[in-house]
Amino acid sequence: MKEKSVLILGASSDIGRALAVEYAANDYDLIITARKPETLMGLKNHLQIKYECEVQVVSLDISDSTDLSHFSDLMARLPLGIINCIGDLSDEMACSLDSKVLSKNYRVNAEGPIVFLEYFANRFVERGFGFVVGISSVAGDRGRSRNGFYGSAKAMLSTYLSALRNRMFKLNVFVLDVRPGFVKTKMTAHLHLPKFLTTDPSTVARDIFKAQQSRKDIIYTPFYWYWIMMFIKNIPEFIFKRMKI
Amino acid sequence: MSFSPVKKNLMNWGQFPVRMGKSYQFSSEYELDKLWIQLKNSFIARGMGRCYGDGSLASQVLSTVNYSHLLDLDEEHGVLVAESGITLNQLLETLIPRGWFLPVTPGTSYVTLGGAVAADVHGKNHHCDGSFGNFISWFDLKIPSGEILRCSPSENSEIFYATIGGMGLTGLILSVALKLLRIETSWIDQKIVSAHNLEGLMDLFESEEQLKYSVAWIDCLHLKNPGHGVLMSGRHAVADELRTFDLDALEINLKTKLSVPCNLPDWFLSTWLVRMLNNGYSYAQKFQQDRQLVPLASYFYPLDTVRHWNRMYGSSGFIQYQCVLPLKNSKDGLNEILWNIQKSGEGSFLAVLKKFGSSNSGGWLSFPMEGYTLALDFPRRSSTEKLLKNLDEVVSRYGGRLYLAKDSRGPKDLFEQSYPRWSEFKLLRNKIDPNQTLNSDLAMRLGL
Repeated sequence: MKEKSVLILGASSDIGRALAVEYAANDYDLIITARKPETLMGLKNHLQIKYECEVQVVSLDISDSTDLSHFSDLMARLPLGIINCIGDLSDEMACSLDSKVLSKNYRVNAEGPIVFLEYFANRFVERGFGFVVGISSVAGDRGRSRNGFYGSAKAMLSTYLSALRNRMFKLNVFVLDVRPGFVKTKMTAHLHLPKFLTTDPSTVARDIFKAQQSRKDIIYTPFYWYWIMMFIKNIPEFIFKRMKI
Repeated sequence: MSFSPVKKNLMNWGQFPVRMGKSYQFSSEYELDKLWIQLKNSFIARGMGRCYGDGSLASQVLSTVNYSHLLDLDEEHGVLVAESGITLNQLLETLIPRGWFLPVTPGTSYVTLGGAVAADVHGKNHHCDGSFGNFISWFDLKIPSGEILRCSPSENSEIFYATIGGMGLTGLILSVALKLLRIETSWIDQKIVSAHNLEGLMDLFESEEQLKYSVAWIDCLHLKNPGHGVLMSGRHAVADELRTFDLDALEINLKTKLSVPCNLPDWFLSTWLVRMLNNGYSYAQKFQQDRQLVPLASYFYPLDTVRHWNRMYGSSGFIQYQCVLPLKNSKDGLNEILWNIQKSGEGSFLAVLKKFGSSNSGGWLSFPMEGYTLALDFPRRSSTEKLLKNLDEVVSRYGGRLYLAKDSRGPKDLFEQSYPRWSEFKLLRNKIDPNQTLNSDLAMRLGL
C-alpha cells in the first residue's frame, strides 16, 4: 500500500481513465468508480501490473445514489483527495422537450457530483487535509444555445467549487476547478471539433495533475482556452445574444 | 452515449488510400458488446493505422486503441496477456525494466498487439525465430456472431491459424497471450558491414546467420552498383559486456524526439534529394564503428524517433512495396527488381532487405516464406504505378508475394497465385461470417 491514494469518480470516462493512469504513474493508490464496475477491470489490472499500485473498483451510479456513508465504508481508508470526472454531454433538444432528461442532466453534471464532493470535503476537514478536484467545462463560462443545459450545470459545479474553496481556505483542503476545452473523447466523438483546438485526454490529465500538485484554484486546459473564454465572456450581451456560436 | 461518431478521413500510414468513415471506440468488453449490436453495416477492427494500405479501412471501423490494458504478466513462465489495442511501445515500457522483450518486433513500436497478430508481423530475427505468430500461446477472438472463442494451436486451431495474418477478417481479437524473451540488458551489440552489391549483401546475410538480428539497407539509386548497401546485424548484449561502459543495463528510451508538423510539399522527396540522402547515409556509415553497443530502441525503431515521418511524402502519400521472393530465385529476382527501379528513375528513400528463415507461424495468409524480402517506399506519383506493375510481374514470375499489411494496390491474381491458402480462408470466413459483418477495403479489393 502506498502513502497516497486518490478517489476518482467516473473513471470509465476518457479523462477519468487518463487521470487514473497519471496518478498511478505518480505513485498513488487508486479508488475508481463507474456505473458498471466491469468496465474498469481492464484498467485495474493494467495499473496494478504496470505501476504496482493498489486499485479498488467501486460501483457508483451518480443518478441514484445518496447513501454516502455506505459508499465510503467500502473504502479501505479515506483517500488523500477526490476527483470528479462524472459528466455527460446531454442532448440539448432532448433536455428541452423531456423534463426527465433535463433533470437527469443537472443530477449527473452538477447535483450528484456536488453531493459527493461536499461529503468528502467535510471528511477531509475532519482529518485535517485533502484535495478536491472538480472537472467542469469551458461551457460553464457562458451560456450558449447549443449546450445551454450542459453549460449551466457545469456553471453550477464551478460556482459550488468556488464557494467550497472559499470555505476551505483556512482548513488545509485545496479545491481545483478544471475547465477543459475541446477534448477528443467518447463524449465528443459525434461533434465536429476544430483539430487545432482539440486535445487528447492524457494531456488534460497531465495538466490536472500538475495543477492539483501545485494547489492551483482554476485551470483551463489547454491553457489557451483561458484567453478564448476571456474573450467570449467579455462580449457584451446585446451582441452575444445575436451570435451563433 | 448513443451518438454516432462524425465521419472523418481515415487513412493508414501511407496516407493512401484516404476514405471517409466513422471510427467507433470502446475501452471495455461491455462497451464493445453494445457497439456490436449497434453497428448495422460491416466494419473492421483498426488499431494505430500503421499498416500502409487499405487493410484497416472501411466505412465503419472499430478502434481498439482504448482497449489497451495489461491483463497478466507471468514472470515465471514469461507469458504476457494484454488487450489487443495496447501498443508494443506501451508493452515495452513495462517489459524492459523487468528484463523482458518482445520475441519478434517490427520496425516500429507504434503498432497494436492485435495488429501485430492480424498482420503476423516479422522482425529482424525472422531467420532465427520466425514471425509474431510463432509466439502466441492463445488469443480470445470475438467472432461476428458475437461469441468469444479461445483460439490456440490446440483449441479452435483452424480459426487460430486463419486469424494469424488474417488482417482482422475472422473476428475482433480481444486479448492475446504472448511468450516473451528474457533479456539481460536493453543494449544491442551491433555490427555494421558494408557490401558493394547485392551479391555481396546476400553473402553477408549467409555468413552472419548465427547472429540473432540482421537487416540491410540498400541504395537502389546508386549509379554504379545498385544494391550497394550495409548490413546491420546484432544480438542482445549481456550484462557482463556492459560493466566496462558504465551503462544502465535496463534503461528504456522510447520517446519520440522530433516531429514532422504537417504534410510537406509533394515534390519534397524528389529523386535527386533521395540520391543525395542515400549518398550521405552511405558516407556516414563509413565513420560508424564496425561494432558498437547501441540502445535497443535505436536499433529496432530508428524511424520512431521522428513522429509523423510519413508526412515527408506529402499529402499524395506514398506506397510501400514489400515483396518476398523464394530463396532459390531471390538473387535473380532482386537484381531484376533493382534494375527496374534504376531504369524508372523512381527513388526509394527506404530500401530494406532481409532474409527470412524457414520457420513459419502457420498463418494461412502469413507473408513470410523462406527467401529474401525487400521493402521499398515510393512517393505516389503518376509514373509510380507503371513501375509497380513491372515489379508485380517480376514478383509473380519468380513465385514471390506481396505483404498484405503494406499493400494498397496489388493485383488480385497475384494475391491468389501467391497465397495458396486463400480459398480455404475464404471458405472459413464464409462459415463464421456469412453476412460479411467484418469487411475491409482490402478484403473487397482482393475478393476475399
